[in-house]
Amino acid sequence: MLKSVCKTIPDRVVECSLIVIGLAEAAHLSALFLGLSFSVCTVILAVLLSGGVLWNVWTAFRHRKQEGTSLGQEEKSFCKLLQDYPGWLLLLAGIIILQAVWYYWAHMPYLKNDITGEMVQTMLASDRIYEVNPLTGQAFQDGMPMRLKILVLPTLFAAVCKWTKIPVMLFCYSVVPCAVLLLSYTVYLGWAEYLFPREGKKRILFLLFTTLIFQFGAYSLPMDGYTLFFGGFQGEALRTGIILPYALLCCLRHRWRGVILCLLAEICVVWTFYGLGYTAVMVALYGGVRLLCFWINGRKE
Amino acid sequence: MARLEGQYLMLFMASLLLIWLTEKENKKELDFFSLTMLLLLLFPWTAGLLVRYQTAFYSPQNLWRLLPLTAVSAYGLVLAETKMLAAATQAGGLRLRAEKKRRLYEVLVVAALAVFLFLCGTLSLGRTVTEEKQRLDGLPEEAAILTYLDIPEDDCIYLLAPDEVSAWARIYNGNLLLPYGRDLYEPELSAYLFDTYDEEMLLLHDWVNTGLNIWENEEQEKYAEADFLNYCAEAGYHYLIFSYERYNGVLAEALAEQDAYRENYTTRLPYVIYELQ
Repeated sequence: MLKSVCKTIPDRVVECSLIVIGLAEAAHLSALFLGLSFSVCTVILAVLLSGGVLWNVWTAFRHRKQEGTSLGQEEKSFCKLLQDYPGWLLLLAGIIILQAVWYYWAHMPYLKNDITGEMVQTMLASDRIYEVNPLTGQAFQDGMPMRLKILVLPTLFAAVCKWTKIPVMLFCYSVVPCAVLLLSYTVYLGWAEYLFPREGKKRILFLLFTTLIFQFGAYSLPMDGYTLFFGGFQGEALRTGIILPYALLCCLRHRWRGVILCLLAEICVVWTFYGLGYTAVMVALYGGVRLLCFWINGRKE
Repeated sequence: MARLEGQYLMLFMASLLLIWLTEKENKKELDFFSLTMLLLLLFPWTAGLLVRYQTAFYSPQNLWRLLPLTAVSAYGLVLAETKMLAAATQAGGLRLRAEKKRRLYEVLVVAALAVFLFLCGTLSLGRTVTEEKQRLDGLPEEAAILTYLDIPEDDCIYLLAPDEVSAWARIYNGNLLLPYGRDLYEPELSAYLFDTYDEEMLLLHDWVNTGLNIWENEEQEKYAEADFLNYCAEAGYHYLIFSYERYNGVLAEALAEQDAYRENYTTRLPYVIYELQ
């Protein structure tokens, strides 16, 4: 029980990325409601992220001191896996690299129903947040709905492009989907650790089958592979590939902090039913199922 | 009701059954959850409720994302691999110390399951919905004409171009302004903005793309083309781009006779660019 509550490396990576989204949302909303320029927003975001990094380093340092070598053990177990099953790991890495190259570097992005690229370019060019029509570049006549204005991803992408000088198209349509795909595999690594706690080979096979399900399952809209490969830069990909599977994993491991992070992150990246997204449905259903299990077990006893 | 193409829903259900039959009590929670979610999505009343929950804005197909299809299916496949390997080693009378043979069996079983996944799925090794990248700057071939424009770094300029070009203009460079956006010809995008377009913009869109094709004779058409060109010059549209198909005799004549625009570049691409003088 205690082990299931402990954080693993995948937990740390995924939760850090969700916290980055949360910090970006804080900067974005403060700029949006206070009417600040995009440049000021990036400064706020930089301060918040620096604070977040410092806090993370401090807590990691403290954890290492308190809990000894838990991280080291995970590193060792990975090295052991690499020694025992180098072929399977190489195959896995090869498939993931091929997927990233094939979908995000060798093919055009799928832009239907999406204006992420325009929004990022508009913020960079106008230095304003949602005050200019991203599709024309002219001042808004009637504006855009608040439910979309609160979404943070374009601001976060624009900020990174501003800091790193990476071209917007390269960042939005190649770098971001790669990162989202890798984060998604990190979540499924967490699943592998949960389902097969002491069976290294099965973990690798689980991940291998996950990559193949993504690859050969990209045939229709609701499939995870489809969303990740053809819209990896959208909030929907974050929800499908990272937030929903991680929320369910956290529910199964009773890590409620992770569930709350997922609930909040979904609101920041996808338009939800006024704050109640798919994660809320999932958590509510899980709660119902758990109550039912308790009730059945109680009757048995 | 939403439909799921391919056969992965069957794979998911088979995985649920396998997990139910083979796994211990502590993994049954996942099974219970997945089964309940599947029933909620299949049963019309509950599916209808979920559609209302997502305010009916999104397609009902989106709801299938609630199903942990990838995790459960991959879990089921690992269990299937374990069972198949055990059966294969038993059938082959294989002893555990024959490690090499065991590894070979393992590879064969995983390959068989990979083929099974392929046959249930896309039936293609790398299915895509977009064309291959032709150029390093990330633009599709039809929009590559944008790279010929001289766009100032600290100022904005107006562009009027056919849809296939203007769709990429704002993504390519934020300093390119358009008289109308993609939402004019992609109605789904109107959900993102409250702004609408007047009749004038609709006419302009048709004119630059295909021409209006409503004129009774060539003289009338030439007069109308000149009228549109005057409108563009007065509105300050810095660049006009026409496809060769659109750049037919009458438009070419009208362009040759006006003073506001001059032909800018001759490129290998099937477009002409006119720049405001």
